[in-house]
Amino acid sequence: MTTTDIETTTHDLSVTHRAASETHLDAVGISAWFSGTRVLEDVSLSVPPATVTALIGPSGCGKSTFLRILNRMHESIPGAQMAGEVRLNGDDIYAPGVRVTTVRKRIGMVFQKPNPFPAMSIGDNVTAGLALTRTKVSRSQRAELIETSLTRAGLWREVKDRLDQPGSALSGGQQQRLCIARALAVQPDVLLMDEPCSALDPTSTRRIEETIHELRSEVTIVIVTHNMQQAVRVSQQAAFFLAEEGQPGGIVEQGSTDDVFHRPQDPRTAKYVHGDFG
Amino acid sequence: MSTSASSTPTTLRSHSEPRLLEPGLERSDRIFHGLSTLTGAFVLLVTGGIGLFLGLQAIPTLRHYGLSFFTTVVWQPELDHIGIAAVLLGTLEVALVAMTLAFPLALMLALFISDYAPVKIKSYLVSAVDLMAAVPSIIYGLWGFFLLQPHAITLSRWLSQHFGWFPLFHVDTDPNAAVWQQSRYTSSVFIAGAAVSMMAIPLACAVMRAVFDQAPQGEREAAMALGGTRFGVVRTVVLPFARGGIIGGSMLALGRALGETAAVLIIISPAYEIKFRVLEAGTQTISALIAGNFGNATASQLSALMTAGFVLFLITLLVNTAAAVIIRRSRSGAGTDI
Amino acid sequence: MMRRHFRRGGTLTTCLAALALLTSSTAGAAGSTALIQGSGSSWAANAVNQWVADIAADGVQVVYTPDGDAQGRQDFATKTSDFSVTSIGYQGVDPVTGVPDTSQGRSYSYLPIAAGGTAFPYQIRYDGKMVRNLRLSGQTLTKIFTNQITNWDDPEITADNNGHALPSIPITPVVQSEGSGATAQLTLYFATQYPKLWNHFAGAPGMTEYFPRQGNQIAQNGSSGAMNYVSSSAANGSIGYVEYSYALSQNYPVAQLLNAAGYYTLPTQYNVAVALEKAQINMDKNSPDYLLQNLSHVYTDPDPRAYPLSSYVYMIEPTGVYPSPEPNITTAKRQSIADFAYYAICQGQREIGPIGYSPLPVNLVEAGFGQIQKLKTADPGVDLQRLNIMTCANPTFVLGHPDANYLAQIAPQPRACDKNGAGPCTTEAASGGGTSGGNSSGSSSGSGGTTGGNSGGTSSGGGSSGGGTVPSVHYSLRVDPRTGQIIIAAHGATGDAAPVGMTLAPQNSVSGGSVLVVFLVLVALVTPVAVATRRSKYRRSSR
Repeated sequence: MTTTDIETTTHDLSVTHRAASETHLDAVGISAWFSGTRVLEDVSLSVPPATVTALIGPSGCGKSTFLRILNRMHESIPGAQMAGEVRLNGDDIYAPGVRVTTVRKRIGMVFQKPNPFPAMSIGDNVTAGLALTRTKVSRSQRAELIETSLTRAGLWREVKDRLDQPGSALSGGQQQRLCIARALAVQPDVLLMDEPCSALDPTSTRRIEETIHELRSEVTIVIVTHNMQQAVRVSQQAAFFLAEEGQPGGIVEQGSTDDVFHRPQDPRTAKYVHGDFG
Repeated sequence: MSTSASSTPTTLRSHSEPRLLEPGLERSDRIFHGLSTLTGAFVLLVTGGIGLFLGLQAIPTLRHYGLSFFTTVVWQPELDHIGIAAVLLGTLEVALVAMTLAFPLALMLALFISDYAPVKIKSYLVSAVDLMAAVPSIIYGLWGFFLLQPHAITLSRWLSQHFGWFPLFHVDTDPNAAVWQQSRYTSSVFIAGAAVSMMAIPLACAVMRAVFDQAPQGEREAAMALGGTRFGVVRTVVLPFARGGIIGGSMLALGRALGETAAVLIIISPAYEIKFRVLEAGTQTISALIAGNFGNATASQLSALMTAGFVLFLITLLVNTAAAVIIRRSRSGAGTDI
Repeated sequence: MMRRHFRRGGTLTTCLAALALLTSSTAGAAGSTALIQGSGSSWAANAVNQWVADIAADGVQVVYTPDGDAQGRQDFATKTSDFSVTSIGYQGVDPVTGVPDTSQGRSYSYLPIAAGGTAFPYQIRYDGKMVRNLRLSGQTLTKIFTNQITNWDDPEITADNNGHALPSIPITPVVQSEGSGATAQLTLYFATQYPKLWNHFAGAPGMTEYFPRQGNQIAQNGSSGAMNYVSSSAANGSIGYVEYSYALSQNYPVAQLLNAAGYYTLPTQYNVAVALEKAQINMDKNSPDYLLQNLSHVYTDPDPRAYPLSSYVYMIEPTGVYPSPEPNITTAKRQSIADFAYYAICQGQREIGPIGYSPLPVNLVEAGFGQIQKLKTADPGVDLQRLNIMTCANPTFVLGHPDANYLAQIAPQPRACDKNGAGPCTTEAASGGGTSGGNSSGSSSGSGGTTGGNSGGTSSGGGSSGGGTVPSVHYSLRVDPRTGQIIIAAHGATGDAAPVGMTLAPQNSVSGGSVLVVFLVLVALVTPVAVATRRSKYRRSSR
């Protein structure tokens, strides 16, 4: 990993995928504002490679905002501001000269609500990222990419016969896995997931969790979830966010998932993981 | 018990049929419901009334001239030569020129407002477009005549100099003459169309912008999160989503352009000829024909003008209906009615 | 500077308001009035609108729509208007186009209200310069408007300009697209003087109100439409026809027309007055066309000062009885019509000379009094006490000579260089507008009828619209307190009432006007911004 890597705009598909274990993501002293109101204050979080890190906490504590700061989606909201640094392998993704599109390509995102492009077929949805970044691929490369991405997202077997059908024809859970496949197709180093299962039924949730489990070795994952059991099931690291009444949010406690859930240091964490509030 | 039992068979219907339910509305709801129904009926009545009125007026003319009403070029009621061939062509030409100019401008403007403009400027621009729509057409006519025309003829001449071989851009005068005949380039379809496009732009732009703004945030963010540029987001999300709105808005604007009167009346020099030379002086449109002639028309001439108006009414109705259908069928228009 | 203009405007307004207060009290005594609506001639519109503005100060409300003679007569026939202004009477049927044209049984009479010349504004620019001394003979003019002469370097035009060739620019005749009095006057002239040329072009003999546009001719709506087109920067080589006032108000050159005496003249108030002394007026009181004009002798007037295309314009007043057959003409309305007509032919005549018309001679004013009297015949409730020849401030009166026209008497002789075969005059023709000197009023009023040769060259400059210093002569009719005789006083006083209309506005108000324009533009630009700001504030606070 060289320091110039972030600025690279070309994405060579022929290169074998980089092992996730090499990717460090560090957020240092992050603050965030919406229209002048501070919602996050001085949050630092280190995401180790090849792990799933869960961000937990009650609604409105800023964990989604924090997640969106990690791949510069935060700034797309009018009136949103931030401070601090996010370092991808040591390089600040907010540094001048860094292209925001490059950052987002390397740090992908899956959203709360499944959002496949409805006008596109399943196959086109998977390769939408290539079209968006103007990456040219051959027909065979494209077919291969579709298959690997859908396989990694655990959807290949279900849709391989109907790749030409519109993505909107799938069920909610399938749509979400399609979105994961779409995000994986641009071969990110980090995948951010913002409550990816909150709109899904238990069976679909289980499938997604399995997918996350399988992806862990290849991609560093940060996941926001409201579901304690899910956090315990999928993550190795956890960070508990909390916003006191009228105060900006921040991390109360972070560490291994095991520690945070079973041996919390802070009484507020203990209260939350035992389901007393939130 | 026995009485109720005996009445049961008559009051209870079979359960296999759906029951007719009374709405069970409050009185205030009923009154409002009645009033709004009345208003809706009134709108239908007015539109239908206009159509009926024009249609009835058209009967004697159509009976008298028959199909030649649509094929005759000149409009000489005194000599009993009346037809809308040239006028209809002029109407379509002005509208098409207007839309050729207005469509790209309105699309770019709407995209800029919805996707590129900073938040602060955005609201100003929305107000400015609304203001542009509120300017009376006569003002655009004066603008077109006094400000646009003197400069537009230079462009017209340039076009005819370089693309005069193309019949559309030919002008029946020597464009390279030492002293060129400016007036041959004035009062043309092109200049009238340019003025009309100024009225079509805000209309098309307002509809397009509204639809662009409705493009789902989730899909926009998905495209952004994949590393898409702003233009990439527009291309993959906004434009496919808004296709119906773009077509619908343009057709609404086309409807407006077809019927535009005051500005056209000021700019054009009435001429009843079948010609496709849009840069050359002289044309006529249905609405300008009516506005210019209804005052001193006799009963039979009035009927002829009404028939021309009826044809315009039908065309506009067709265009607007098509626009409504396209918008409603499209994904973006599911919630919007125009 | 700006402030001073504003203050001056303020005092003027105060004075006007005071004047209005004074006069309205006297007018109120004369009988109540009501809003009247008229339509018709755009040829006469600048004069009529001037009177409308003046008489509004007396409390008489008049709305005038200049939508063309034909439309005006039609409006009157269908009783949608209370009066109409037209330069020709009801025709029965248009000779060329066959459009029917009657009053549809509504009783009316014609009342002459002004004279004027149909002028030919043109735009010939080359090398950045504008030709301002074009001369045309009637035949050349006819050939231009019948598409027979198509370039300004045509030998016939060169001959008219005494061998001085114009640049080679194609001619674009600009005609009026609606039925108009200007077209009627023009085609009547063509049909009378050059019937062969005209009939061949029009396809039918006689005059028409609807110009049969052909070929390269451009048609524009109304006098202002035609004038605006000719003066627009896109119209090099064009020539139109409008009443002189339209060209004058834009300070635009008009062609000098060759008269029967061999001089090229302009349609100044003097030259029009001279020419119209030859107009044959129908004096048969029983004729429906009573007071209408026959202009054939005007076209051939041998006076060197005459402008051939001069004519009168008429008001059509309703003479039917209320409420049947005139359900709309109440006593108050008829009073308004009478007051308006009286103002127009007396006091009003003083203002129209400087703006490009010519005042009526006294015999037509007297006849006009007779026509106004018919309003009282129809409705005895109409109060005509103000109708008094003694107080009629018409500037053309000559004591003891009701047929004479004072203006015609003092009209200056044409310059020698304006003669056919001489010249052309290198300086711009006098009444082109801005060039006429401020001293002209003094010289013309002082020299009276003795002006001759080129001494009068500058004195026909009544046309300049140079604000308060309009070099025009004003006359008033007074009764000498000792002898009891009527005397005419001519004095070079400045205007009693400011001309109306934007184009006629005095120049010293221009800076004030531009400040106003800038202010309005700013308002128009700031408003949406302010609205948007408020909107976004609201949005933020509601978040």
